[in-house]
Amino acid sequence: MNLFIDNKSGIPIYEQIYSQIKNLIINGELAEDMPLPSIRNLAKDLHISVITTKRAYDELEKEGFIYTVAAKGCFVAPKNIELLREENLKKIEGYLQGIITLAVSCNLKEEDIISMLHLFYEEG
Amino acid sequence: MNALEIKDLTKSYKNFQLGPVNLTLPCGCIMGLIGENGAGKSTTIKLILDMVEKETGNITILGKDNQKGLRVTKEDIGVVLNEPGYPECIRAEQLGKIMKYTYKQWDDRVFSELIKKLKIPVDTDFKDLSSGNKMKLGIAAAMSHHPKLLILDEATNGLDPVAREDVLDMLYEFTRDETHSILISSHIVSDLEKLCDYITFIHNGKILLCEEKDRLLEKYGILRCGEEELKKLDKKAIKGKKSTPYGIEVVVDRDKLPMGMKTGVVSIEDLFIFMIKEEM
Amino acid sequence: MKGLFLKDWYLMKKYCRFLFLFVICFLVAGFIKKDGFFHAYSMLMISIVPVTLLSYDEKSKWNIYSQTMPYTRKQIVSEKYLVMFALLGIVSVLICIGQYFITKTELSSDIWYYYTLRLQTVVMIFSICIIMSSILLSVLFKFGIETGRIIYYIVFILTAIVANSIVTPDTNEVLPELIREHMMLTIFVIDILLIGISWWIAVRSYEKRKF
Repeated sequence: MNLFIDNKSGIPIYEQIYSQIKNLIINGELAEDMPLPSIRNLAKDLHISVITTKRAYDELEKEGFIYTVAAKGCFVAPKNIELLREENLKKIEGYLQGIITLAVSCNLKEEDIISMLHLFYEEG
Repeated sequence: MNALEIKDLTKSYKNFQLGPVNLTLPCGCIMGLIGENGAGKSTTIKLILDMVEKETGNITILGKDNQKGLRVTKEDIGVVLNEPGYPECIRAEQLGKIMKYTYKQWDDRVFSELIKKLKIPVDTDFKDLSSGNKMKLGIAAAMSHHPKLLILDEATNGLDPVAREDVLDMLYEFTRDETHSILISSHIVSDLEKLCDYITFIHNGKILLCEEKDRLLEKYGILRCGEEELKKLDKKAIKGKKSTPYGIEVVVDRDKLPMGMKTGVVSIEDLFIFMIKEEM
Repeated sequence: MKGLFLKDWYLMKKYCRFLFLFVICFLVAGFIKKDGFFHAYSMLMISIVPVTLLSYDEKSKWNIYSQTMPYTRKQIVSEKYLVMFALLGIVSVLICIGQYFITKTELSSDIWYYYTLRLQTVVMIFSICIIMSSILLSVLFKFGIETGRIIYYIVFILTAIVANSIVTPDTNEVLPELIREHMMLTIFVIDILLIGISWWIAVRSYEKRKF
């Protein structure tokens, strides 16, 4: 598992860990029921605070991406189809918002965008 | 159990008043005690170890009151002071033997490994060691009796960057065990920024803040703006500011700012400097 | 306290070699010249050692550092007293053994009577040295080396004068009958008392001392 922390990016470190592990789970790089490094060991290996890693793991567990077994540690949760669908829907909404912003900036109307969308569906 | 609990600690000297100090270090965590020279860091550490008599307050180390049975508690504490006080004619091996008869849990193997790792000369008398090597020897000795709490007073000051990195690595390793904790004081903030879980600022004997490092970094930010914008800000949001001919840098409490104001990340070092200057 | 003894042993090995050599020379001289002065002086010399050790402790800041270690201040004080006892004890025993052989070679009869007399002299000197040393240690523990040093020199000279004037052939005659009868016992009791008091004062002052 590769995790990279950027101290200077301005993004809180716990958020960087949370996002990266989440993406690894969604991509399938982290398989179901695979054990994750303990909160403490992860912190020490990355040279960051245990409070940070704990927070990232707490978020992941809250969102259902991982689960904890007492005295054993944290594991990747089984792929939740609903969760993945939610994630992808969120991404699509994000892209749509971007498209609309761009469209407005070059004076394209809603009908123009919908025509472009039809074209792409026909081709693909 | 907390590794260290300090409640309402005070101590007065002729020209200096320390306290009241309130501080809690949970087990398994690292706390950085940051302050300029003379702020009271060493005094606080001496009070913790009962090397100096306190006036008021309570100190609990590893669950035990420091006024009762401190001799036994000290078996679990490893201490490095800013001036290691070993006899001048002693060599590393002799120090190991003295410590073997001092600490019940002294581990010769760990001591030899640390000496090798930190490249401490073994055939030199203590007085002839460089100040960096003296410090390294002190650190090696402090970590070789399986302590539960490490107290380091300005211990990384005299070290070259490579040695400092080695020592910080050792400290990270030390806290892999969740029963191990560290209290480290320094005025070199950059050392502590990455390492610590908790940060305490001390200035002129007063505790300015004592918080989780991550919360600090989220709570405070740097706002770069002009005079007019500065006037519009809530006074309570401003923790410190620096004016240049091309604008003003303000350290702000993000919660107290109006929505949508863009702030940059503030380093612990900058936060400290800005806050001190504001106090002065 | 073993660690403290070991540390002092290393210090003595390094810094007190010449002193030990002098002490042996004076011991030998005392046996040859049959003048009590040499033995008295060798005991005085050896009683410097704990003081020397204490000054090295202060110089290297060991007295501060040792407080981060699992030693009570009481143990730190007591260790120096024990070192003092041990050193003076060893020298005294050496003198006693030497005196036995000399008495044996010199005299053919009444060996034990004369030997006992000589032993009494040794015990006297031992008592004076140990009391002086104890008082010195307690002064140094209370005031530190700097101030203590001045007091030390005064006490040293005074004791040398007192020791010289007490240890004379007339000593035995001057003392009252009762004390002479139970000489050893009286000296023993006085020693214990004075040393005990000085140790107690040393511990109390050191416990209160600010660093």
